[in-house]
Amino acid sequence: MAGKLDQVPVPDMADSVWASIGVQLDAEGDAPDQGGDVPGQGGGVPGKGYGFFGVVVVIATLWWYYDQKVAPVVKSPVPAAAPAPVVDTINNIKKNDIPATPVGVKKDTVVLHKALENIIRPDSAGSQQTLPPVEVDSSSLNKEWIPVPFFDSLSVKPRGRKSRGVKGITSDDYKISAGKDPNKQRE
Amino acid sequence: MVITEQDLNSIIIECCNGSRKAQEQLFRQLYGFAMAIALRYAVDEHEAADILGHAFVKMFRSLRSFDATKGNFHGWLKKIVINESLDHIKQRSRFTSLELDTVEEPFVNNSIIEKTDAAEILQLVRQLPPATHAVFVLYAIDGYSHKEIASQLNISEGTSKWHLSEARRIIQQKLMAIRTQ
Repeated sequence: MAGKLDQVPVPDMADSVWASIGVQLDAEGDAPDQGGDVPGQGGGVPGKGYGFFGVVVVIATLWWYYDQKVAPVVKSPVPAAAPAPVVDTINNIKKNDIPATPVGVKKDTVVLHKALENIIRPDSAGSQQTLPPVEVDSSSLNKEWIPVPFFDSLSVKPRGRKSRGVKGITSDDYKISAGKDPNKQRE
Repeated sequence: MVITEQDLNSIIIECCNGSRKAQEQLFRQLYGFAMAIALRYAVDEHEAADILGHAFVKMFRSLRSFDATKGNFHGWLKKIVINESLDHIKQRSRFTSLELDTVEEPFVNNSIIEKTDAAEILQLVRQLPPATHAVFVLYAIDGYSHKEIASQLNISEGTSKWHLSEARRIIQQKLMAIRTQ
């Protein structure tokens, strides 16, 4: 019977079987080669597939990485690193940089420096979020440029005082003294 | 085209290096040999092709483990195809172990077999119940012993003998029916 069964003709299914074998070998990641002679069995196609898959994976990874990286920055209300340099610039202002004998309006410059310090200190110590004005000031100090109009209304005294009251009457005239009683004079 | 043992070895080395062209060459060289084995265990050509596909994939993946000093390549491939065939049969049927002490071996008239067409005999074998079919082909055609069959199918030797006896009885009956028609 064994001899009889060996005589059974083999069906011609080699192409279809090989096609399924090729698919399975590709799916299982066996190394395809330089390509076969049979049409449709080129060796380059699986490599391209892997390349495309690799590119997709890289893009997805980068997207995920940057998405994870950007998200906390957006959520955090106060950036920790930003204010520090501004505070430093103020504190790092050397007194040597400020001219000892300023040219121009001497008196005003000194007063404005004091006023400036008084204004900046609370800002830098307290809320660090109001940074832009401080930054401008620090740079202006180095350039010896004083923003007079900005501080004018706050703390700088006006240069010339307007005379008040009637001419000829001094403050002594309003003093009350026991000797001079206007009611008695009338009487 | 028949290739020499030396050519076969060089093709195998190329296959081990991952050459798809060499793999195809090896497959086409061994297709007829392997398909003939698969056809004996399968119920039809399509199942045989399926068995063959899986067997060759396993063969290519484990080609580096082939040791020529332990046996020839054809014997190694035959074992892979048979194991794959048995896996297929196990998937579609359940092997139950039978407690049988003695099994009567039915007489099979060889003269009737000789007069019968090979394709007809294959059809008769395929009509056997799956377990009986497997045991019959393993024993009567591929030369396995009852001990080996019992080990392969996880059944007792007695069960293997019973299946063989059952197979012979059924085939004898069908052959007689064919001859009397």
